[in-house]
Amino acid sequence: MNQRFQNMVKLHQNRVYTLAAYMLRDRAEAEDVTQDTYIKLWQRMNRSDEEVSRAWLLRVARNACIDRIRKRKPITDQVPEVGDHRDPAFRMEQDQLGKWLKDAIAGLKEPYRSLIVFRDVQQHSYQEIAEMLEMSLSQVKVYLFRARKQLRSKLPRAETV
Amino acid sequence: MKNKTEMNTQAFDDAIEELLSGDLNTNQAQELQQAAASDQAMATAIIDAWTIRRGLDELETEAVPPALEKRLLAIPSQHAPRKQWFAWLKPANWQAGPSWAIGSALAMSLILAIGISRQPNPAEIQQAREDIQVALAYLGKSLNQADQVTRDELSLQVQKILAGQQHRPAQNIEGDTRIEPESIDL
Amino acid sequence: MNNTLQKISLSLTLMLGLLISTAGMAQTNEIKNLAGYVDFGDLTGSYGEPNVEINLGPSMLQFASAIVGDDDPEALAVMKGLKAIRVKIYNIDGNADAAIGQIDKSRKQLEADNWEQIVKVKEDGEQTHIFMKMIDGNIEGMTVLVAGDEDEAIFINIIGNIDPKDLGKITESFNVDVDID
Repeated sequence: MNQRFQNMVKLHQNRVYTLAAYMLRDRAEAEDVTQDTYIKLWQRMNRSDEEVSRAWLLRVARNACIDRIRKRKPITDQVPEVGDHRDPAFRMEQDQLGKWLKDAIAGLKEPYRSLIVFRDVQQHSYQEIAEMLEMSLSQVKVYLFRARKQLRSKLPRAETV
Repeated sequence: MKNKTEMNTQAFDDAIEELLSGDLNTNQAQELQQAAASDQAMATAIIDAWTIRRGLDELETEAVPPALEKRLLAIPSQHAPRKQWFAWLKPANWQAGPSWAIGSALAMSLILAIGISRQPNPAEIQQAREDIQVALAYLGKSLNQADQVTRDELSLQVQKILAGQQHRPAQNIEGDTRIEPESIDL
Repeated sequence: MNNTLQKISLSLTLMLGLLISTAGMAQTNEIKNLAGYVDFGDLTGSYGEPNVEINLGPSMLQFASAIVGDDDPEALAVMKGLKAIRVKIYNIDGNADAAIGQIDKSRKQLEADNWEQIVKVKEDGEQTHIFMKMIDGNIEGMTVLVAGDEDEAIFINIIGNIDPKDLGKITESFNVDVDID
């Protein structure tokens, strides 16, 4: 039992932590969520022989993140600032783009935020995402399109002179 | 292809996503690109979508801080196991009555199940799969530590030995020099 | 009456335990008797219980391989060639001495048993050794020994026909992230 738990830590801890870090944009909170998630896993493993999987682990972590986000003061439609982009020649450097994207992802609503992290950051298959989010495959694809479109709509462009 | 103003917005967005996902066939992709060449809004939308994709591709997973990993691995020792399924077998829980008959029957059925069939249960199989994942992950990590010696390079080395060619024993390198993949006798 | 029932139940429980432990021992013996088995010794005295200990024999590998399925025949073929997977990982907490001592012992045993060393890296107290066992033109096993700067000592013994280039096939099938740190 203990060995199996250790395996689950070794194999999936980075995914759980990454999901929490991207969703919450707060390392301390991400650490708390990761720890709480694994405590739940250990309790579940002790309670029964019910199957535990990576999908289960990430679903629990995501729900914990959503709970925390709900308790925060509402900041909706927050568009991250990326310096002065009035210059027509403005092109975001990769580092800048990465930071902007992380903030922008955190500013998305659910399930868009989770979808972007699961698919575009963690490269999960559509099938596994559907299982984690309890959606159909077509819903996953449609919502993912919408999520990316929302990011696109927030992207600062040269035309915003 | 119609320009953006003529196209259904949803269809236009879908087409861009499909283009970037490589899901459009060559003709469809060319049509979209040609349409974008004469439609500034369409071109901008494609560039923006591409910028987002490029950025997303570069985003990296976060590594768990070492202190957190230690806390995670310590969870079993800090959170006592809950009541086990076999707790009823402990003397303190022994009671007279029909529950005994049920307990004995359960034990007997388990013995028969194990004795007659050696098939592992689903939990054991799941455990084995996770064990294989861990083993493969550590194998990959070990290869990475051997200065990114690739599997193909190792394979070539092995095939050469198998083919009976003269094998130069692996060099014993001390100090700060590592075996580079190229230096392996391929 | 109660006593009798208690005795019956206790006997049954003991029989159950005996059968389970016999099954475990059978798996261990099954692995030990395979050509390509390597003794990694016991470093419990130096580092405590291993962080990870895996002993999968032929039968368990067969059941676990079912996940690969018919849709990935190449990976399935690789899995069918495997007879056992053994892993021992110790947390050495910066003190690699005992681990390196064990690696030396294992290395000598491997050389005596005609294993071919295909990678040897020694740098700043860190060691990585990869051995292959080949008999009559067939691969019989692969052994990896690592200790040093990292916090872990790694002992891996894969028994069976395992070509390093095929590792990628099963790594993908088992959905492995090689990001253990």
